Amino acid sequence: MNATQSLPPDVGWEPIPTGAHAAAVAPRPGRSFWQDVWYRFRQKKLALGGGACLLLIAVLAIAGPSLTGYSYSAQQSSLANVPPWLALAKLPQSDDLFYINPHLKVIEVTPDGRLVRQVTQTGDDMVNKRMSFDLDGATLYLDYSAQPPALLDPDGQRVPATSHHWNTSYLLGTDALGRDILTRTLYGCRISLAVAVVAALVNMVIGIVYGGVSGYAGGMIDVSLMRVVDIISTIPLTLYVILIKVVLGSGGFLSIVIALSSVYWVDMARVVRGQALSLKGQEFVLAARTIGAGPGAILKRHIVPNAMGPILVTATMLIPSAIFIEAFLSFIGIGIAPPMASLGTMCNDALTTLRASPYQLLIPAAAICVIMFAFNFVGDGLRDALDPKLRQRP
Amino acid sequence: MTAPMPLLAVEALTKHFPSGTRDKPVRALDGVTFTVRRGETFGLVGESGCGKSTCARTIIRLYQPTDGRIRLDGTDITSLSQRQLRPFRRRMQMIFQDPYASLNARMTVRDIVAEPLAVHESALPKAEVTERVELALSQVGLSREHLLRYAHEFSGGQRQRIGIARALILHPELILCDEPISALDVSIQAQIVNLLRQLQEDLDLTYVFIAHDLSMVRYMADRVGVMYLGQLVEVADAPALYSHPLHPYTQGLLASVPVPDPAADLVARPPAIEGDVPSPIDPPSGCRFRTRCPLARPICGEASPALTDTGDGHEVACHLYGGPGQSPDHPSTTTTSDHQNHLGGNPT
Repeated sequence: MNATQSLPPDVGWEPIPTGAHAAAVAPRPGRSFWQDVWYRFRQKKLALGGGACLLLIAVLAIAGPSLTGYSYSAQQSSLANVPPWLALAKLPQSDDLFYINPHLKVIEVTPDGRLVRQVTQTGDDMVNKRMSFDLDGATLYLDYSAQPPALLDPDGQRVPATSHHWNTSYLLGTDALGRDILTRTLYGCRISLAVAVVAALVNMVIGIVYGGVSGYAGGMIDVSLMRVVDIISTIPLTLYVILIKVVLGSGGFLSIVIALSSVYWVDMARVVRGQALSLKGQEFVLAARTIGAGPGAILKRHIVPNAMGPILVTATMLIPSAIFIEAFLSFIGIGIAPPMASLGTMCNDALTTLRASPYQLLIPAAAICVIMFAFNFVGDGLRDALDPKLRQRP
Repeated sequence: MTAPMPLLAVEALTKHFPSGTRDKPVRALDGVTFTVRRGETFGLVGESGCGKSTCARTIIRLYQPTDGRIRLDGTDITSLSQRQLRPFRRRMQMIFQDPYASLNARMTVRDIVAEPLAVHESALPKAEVTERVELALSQVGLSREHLLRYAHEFSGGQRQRIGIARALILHPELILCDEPISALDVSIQAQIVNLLRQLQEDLDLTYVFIAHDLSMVRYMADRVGVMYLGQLVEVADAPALYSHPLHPYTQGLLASVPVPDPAADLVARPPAIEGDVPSPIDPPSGCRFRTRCPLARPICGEASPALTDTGDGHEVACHLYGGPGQSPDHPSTTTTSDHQNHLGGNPT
């Protein structure tokens, strides 16, 4: 007390209240490893964005298709090839607007963008390049002698499609068979995410266990296990999918899942084996052995956690590539079978109408890109977050 | 004489490693025999690559011995399976050289120190585990604040303390210290060595203390074994070894220790050992040291000298002291002891 009184009054120091001392000495609760990982992961905005994006896609893919009101396979051929952004023509004889699709079908659209119906075609005067339609008893003409095709008003004047509106019936438009692209894209995301889950599981379970056992056991076990990996990895995945498809008789998604789960772990097994080989000579592994820990415990407690960085780096490369493999196989026609929607089959379907309806390709392609980018960002963030050597106490 | 049973008896321990390209094995350890009495510190010294660490790792059965016997408290543990070994592993633990590599960077201090409990006493309730860990940490001078930190947040000396706590938690009788101080700063070395001595006193531990720092071994050890190229060349009580080294290699080794007093350096010293250690794949015939020995004779190339007792438990493997008719005519005993007095007795 004497000391505090002898301080000059405006020195800026204050005596600490007696209770505060105990609080300062009490051990700060340490953070667990995963709390730490989460703390560092949060610092990475890009990774967080990727994670949020994946979460959103996952929720949409799971819940979405039941909310759109359409099934992935229901066809509405009268409303085929309608894009999400409509260029509409306003005619004096009707309150509604009209959209001319690339196949010269005229579709009646309400002013708020809802598709009503396809107007019935009654004739086609090929000499004058003029089609006639029946609109509630009146006749409507479509002139396609000049580009773009346009409807004619009662005076025979071309009515340009000047007003624009979003397609509120089919938010992302319809494909060539009149199926809702939004629903099909969400189904495609579902398949992509399912493939990602399968690839991750296969890598994380079979790849890690196989590689870990091979590397840690060493010797003849290692040599024989790795020769199996060599044999598997020399045969291309495409071939496996085709063979499995032949064996199953049908297949589609199932054959891709079986092919992925039977062979897609070899890269991970190699990475984990290399890590196990280098880690098993480290002193902390020797220490565990002198303690008497068994091989299983050493793999679980020491080798796999210390190899987590390379494992995640590999996984973040393998998961997007599995998604891409599925899309590719579906694109070339040996993956998901129609009418199931995969992003790959959707891209393929869109090719035939690419010039007239590019949105049919762009939407599933964009979905693939977003999913793959999101996985990559999350993977990068995880890798940085998992390295405790970067750990700094705030 | 009915000596009490030694805690550790190593008999003709041999470990050969496959040498890759050649058919001949690497003779890392070739017929090492010594005993460690309960409660003592047995120092093991020698140059890098002479097989000290291999010896420790073979004793604790990280390596399967090629030949020989390891007896722990009378029980032969040489050929026990890893499962059968587990009760014996509780009784002997190891402290490693590199405090940075010997702790798992992914585990908290609590988990590192508790790992032996997880293996041997997995049924222990969590609270008791924490209690035991805290006790072990307090024994090595760390507090419970450190429980949930990771190893990389500590200095080298603190990490080595964690490694010691891990070795202590099962209450072992024998601790193999594989160069526990050579990776540390000199000031920290003294702390760790004093900690080890304190623990030995408090917990009645027996040490096998491996080092290449001769003055540190002199401070720590009750008896010292000198290794050369996979073999023991001399075993003696520490004071006897340092004052009257018999084997030419031991003499050379002691002569190579830098002396803090420059004036002492001017006093005649036995010539330092020249040349390099021969390859353990192809060791010299007879006495392995003869290629570098200033006193080598023809017999040294013909027969391998056995470790023989010259009196008072001072054993040496050298033809100079071999036959009973041969008097130890070695010239340098007095000169070495002269300058050996300068060697550090107390590193603190």
